Amino acid sequence: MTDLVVRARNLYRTFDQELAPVRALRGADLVVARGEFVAVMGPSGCGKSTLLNIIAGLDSPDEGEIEVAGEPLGDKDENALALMRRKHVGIVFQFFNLLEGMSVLENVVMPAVIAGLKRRAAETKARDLLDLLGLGDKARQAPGMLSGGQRQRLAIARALANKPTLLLADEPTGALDSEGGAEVLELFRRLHADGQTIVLVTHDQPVADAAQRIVRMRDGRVVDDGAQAVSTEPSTAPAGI
Amino acid sequence: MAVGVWLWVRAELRGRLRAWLGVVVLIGLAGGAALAATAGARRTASSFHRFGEDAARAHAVVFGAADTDPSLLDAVERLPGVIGSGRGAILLSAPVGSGLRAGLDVAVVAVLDDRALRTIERPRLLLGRLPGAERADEVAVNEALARRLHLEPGDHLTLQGPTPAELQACYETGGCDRLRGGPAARVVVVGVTRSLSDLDDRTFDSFGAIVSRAFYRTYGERTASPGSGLFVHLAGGEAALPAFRKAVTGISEHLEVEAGSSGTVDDALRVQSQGLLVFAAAAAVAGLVAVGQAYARLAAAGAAGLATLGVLGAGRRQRWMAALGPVAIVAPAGAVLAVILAWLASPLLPIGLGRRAEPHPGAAFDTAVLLWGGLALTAAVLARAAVSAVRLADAPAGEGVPVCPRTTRPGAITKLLAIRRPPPLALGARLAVVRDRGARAVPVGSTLVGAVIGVMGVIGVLTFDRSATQVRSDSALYGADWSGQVSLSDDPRAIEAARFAAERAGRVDALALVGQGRLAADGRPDVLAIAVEPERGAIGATVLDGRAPVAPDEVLAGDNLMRDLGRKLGDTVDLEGDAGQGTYRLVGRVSVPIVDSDSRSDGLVLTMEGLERLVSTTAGEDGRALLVRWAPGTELAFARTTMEDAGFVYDPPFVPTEVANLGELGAIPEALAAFLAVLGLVATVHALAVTVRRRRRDQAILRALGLTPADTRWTVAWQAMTTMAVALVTGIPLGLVVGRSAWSGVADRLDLVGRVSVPAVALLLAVPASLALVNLLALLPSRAAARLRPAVVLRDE
Repeated sequence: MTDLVVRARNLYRTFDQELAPVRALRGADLVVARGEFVAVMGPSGCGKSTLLNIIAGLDSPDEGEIEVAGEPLGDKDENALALMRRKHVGIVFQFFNLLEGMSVLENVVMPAVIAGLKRRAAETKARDLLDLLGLGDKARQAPGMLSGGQRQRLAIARALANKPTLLLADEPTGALDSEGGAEVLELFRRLHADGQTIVLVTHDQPVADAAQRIVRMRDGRVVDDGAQAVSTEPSTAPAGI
Repeated sequence: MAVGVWLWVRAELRGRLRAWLGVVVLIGLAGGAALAATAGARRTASSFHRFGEDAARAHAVVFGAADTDPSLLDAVERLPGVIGSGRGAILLSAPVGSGLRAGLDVAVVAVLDDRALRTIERPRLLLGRLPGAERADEVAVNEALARRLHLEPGDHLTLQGPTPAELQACYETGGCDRLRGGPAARVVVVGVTRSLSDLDDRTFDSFGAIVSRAFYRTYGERTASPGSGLFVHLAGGEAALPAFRKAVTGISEHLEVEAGSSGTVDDALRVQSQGLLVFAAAAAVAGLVAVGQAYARLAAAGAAGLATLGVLGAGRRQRWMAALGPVAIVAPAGAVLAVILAWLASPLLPIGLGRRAEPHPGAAFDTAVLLWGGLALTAAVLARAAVSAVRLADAPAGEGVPVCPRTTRPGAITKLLAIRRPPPLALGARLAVVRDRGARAVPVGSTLVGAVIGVMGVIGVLTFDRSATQVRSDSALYGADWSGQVSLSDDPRAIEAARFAAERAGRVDALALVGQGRLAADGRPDVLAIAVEPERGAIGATVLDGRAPVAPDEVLAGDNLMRDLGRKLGDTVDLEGDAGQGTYRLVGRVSVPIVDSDSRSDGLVLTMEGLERLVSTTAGEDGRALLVRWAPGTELAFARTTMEDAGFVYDPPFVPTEVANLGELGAIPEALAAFLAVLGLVATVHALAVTVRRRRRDQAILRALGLTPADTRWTVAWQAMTTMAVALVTGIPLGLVVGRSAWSGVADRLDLVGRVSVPAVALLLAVPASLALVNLLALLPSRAAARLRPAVVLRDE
């Protein structure tokens, strides 16, 4: 049985800019099966972050179809997309995007509370996650007091707070030194080993090498979906060329 | 480097032209309000004096004995220092069918020569002209009478009053029920006037009319009159009055000199003027805070540019100049706008009595206020901006305003507002009270202060205003614990007849007989002493401290008198009248009831027995008075008419000048309250707008975490409601304290009962109304927040 977490077909997205429109996606296709760890690689400006934002429901395609965890996103409004994110998506950003006014613990509590969990239950869950990621003793601190690697681990903990179907990571090691980057990649491997579906965007080959499958993009299209490397069930989606 | 600084300043102004223009408008509006109010205050304070100059104000009026020997006034006119004069006479006459009483409600002035009311004490003609000197059928009415009877030039009326014999009988026997036997004069209204005395005599209904000497010749002999008099203009002005008084007494001791129109109007205008100055100060402070906030926001946004200047080699001083540069251009521009707006607003001021007194209404350019004020405004804005500019210039080159993330543990408030369901509530509450730092900082402190000041100011001003309104409508608070007083002769039959008439006029709650006398207190002569002897119910003087006199040797004193005598409660005071003397104990401080024109702070109140020990008669110079307090629900107008129809002179309690002055504040308290309310709301909305902009990254992250646009809207709404809740919880009690203190201070100074009237309706409405209003105003920022595109924001940031 095919168990697809992401199914993107013929996505187009153009941004209106002052001088000329920027065509970020020009017919991109992507399929990610449950339990996969996919790295999306490509040069700067190839549309990989735009693709990630569309999968996360933070942006909408001008054309094409997108499904996440079996839910088509095309007909969802902003509220419905937010509800979808609560349930299915956790996001890790390059520059962490932590809530600086809140404590480490509250950063992890927040998505759980937004998803409807009671404060006490959310806090218990958040403490477990922080312990798991080695940040248990930092719970009461401000995010600004953490090192780069710790901050990204915190961002990952936050992304995992609602046990998302899909973990999206946009250049998660881009703002880290080599030690911090390795730390984060090791974490992703562990998560994947535990069955977490991960889509990671990077322009860095060593980072992409940590993934199970590497999808390559250029000029807004997927030029290589790395399907031959997948050892799970083959994708039924068309190659994104 | 100066060129570099200039280029940076120019680029900054060009780059954010609209924002800097907004600051110009802000300076213009706040400064304009402050300058307009200050100029209005000056104009108000001087209006009566300027009216007096225009009208060639009489410094004195001489009367008494002039009718029996007109040559006496000739001698007065020849006195050195008299540089202008004019003769007139008062006729006790009133429009028939108007309900106005001749002599009591209406003063009809007959002009007896070519100078009175033409070259001296000249009234301002609002419509038409003065009566012709040889026209017995013409009259000019003052604006109060014109308004009351809906008169305008061309209308006719009939003037009629008592004959001299009827008036004499009224004085001697109390038979005042027939006072319309004089000739009926059918006259045509030829003008509507406003004279100095119309403004001066504000505690009574000041209906007036001016007739000619032809009228006086035709009707004067058969109409009662207190006599003729002489308006006098002195070379030395009011300062020369004592010497003039002495010189007049030298001509004849039967001549009396009264000061011309003066004091009470100036007092009233001073109250109004001070109210406007308070308004101006509030506008200036609020404006400066708002401009400071706006500048800080703009400066923070331009901090990166300043930091770049530092990288390029600009020193601290140059960076400071660059930070201050835009303000050096914007501040004078705003000040010019403020001056223009203040000038455009000048026709709206003065208000109330000041407007009536203003001889040249319309636009006015107060050079001293507008020019110096404009310069002061520029300096104040520059000084405020210089403080922020120092902070920006002190930031190390390349850093600008700190944008580093928080590196300290979250504060106590943050912990208190732990994130729980629903998230928008906790998030909004935090945004309202947690400032944060660097580029994410929002003006929490100034917003809360602004909102609290707004609520506090509104409640404080309304508390004061309501208390002031209450004192004007409840005479017991200024010493008159009765509904009206019946003036009587000392004839016991008249007193009995008045009691009988009162029983017919309405349901009597209390009755008291008032006795009066003049005493020397510790050697100070001519002190008014009053005794109130209740006949039914409790009625008497209003005791401010201590208790009412019970024993014959106990006395209450007004505040000024106690101060002058250097006495306090419990001390004794020696009193002496024409029939005896004695030592009395001060048992209380009192608001002395006004039964004549003495100040309430200057008199004494005794028991009737205590007064009778000192004076030969307690009837006083103007006779006795019977005080009546009607039971609640009594039709006051009917009671008054019934008493008057029975032939009695009946008056409601006289409103003391200082109490009437409170009314001259007019709409200033409401305007101040509205201004402070707007200030609080503007501060709140400004904070919402700033928060939406500066915390857009946080909002985008929260949206990425699953917050819906609707949640985002609610976050902004909760922020607004939290700000307002803090303002209400803090501002309402503070406002009540401030209003209570302010009113108590005024009441204490004016010898009023300092009863504070809480604006209950305003308090009840304040919570739902302000929350509804702030939610309404939060609509735009919340909409902007909800429309934010997380992907775009997170990419841009």
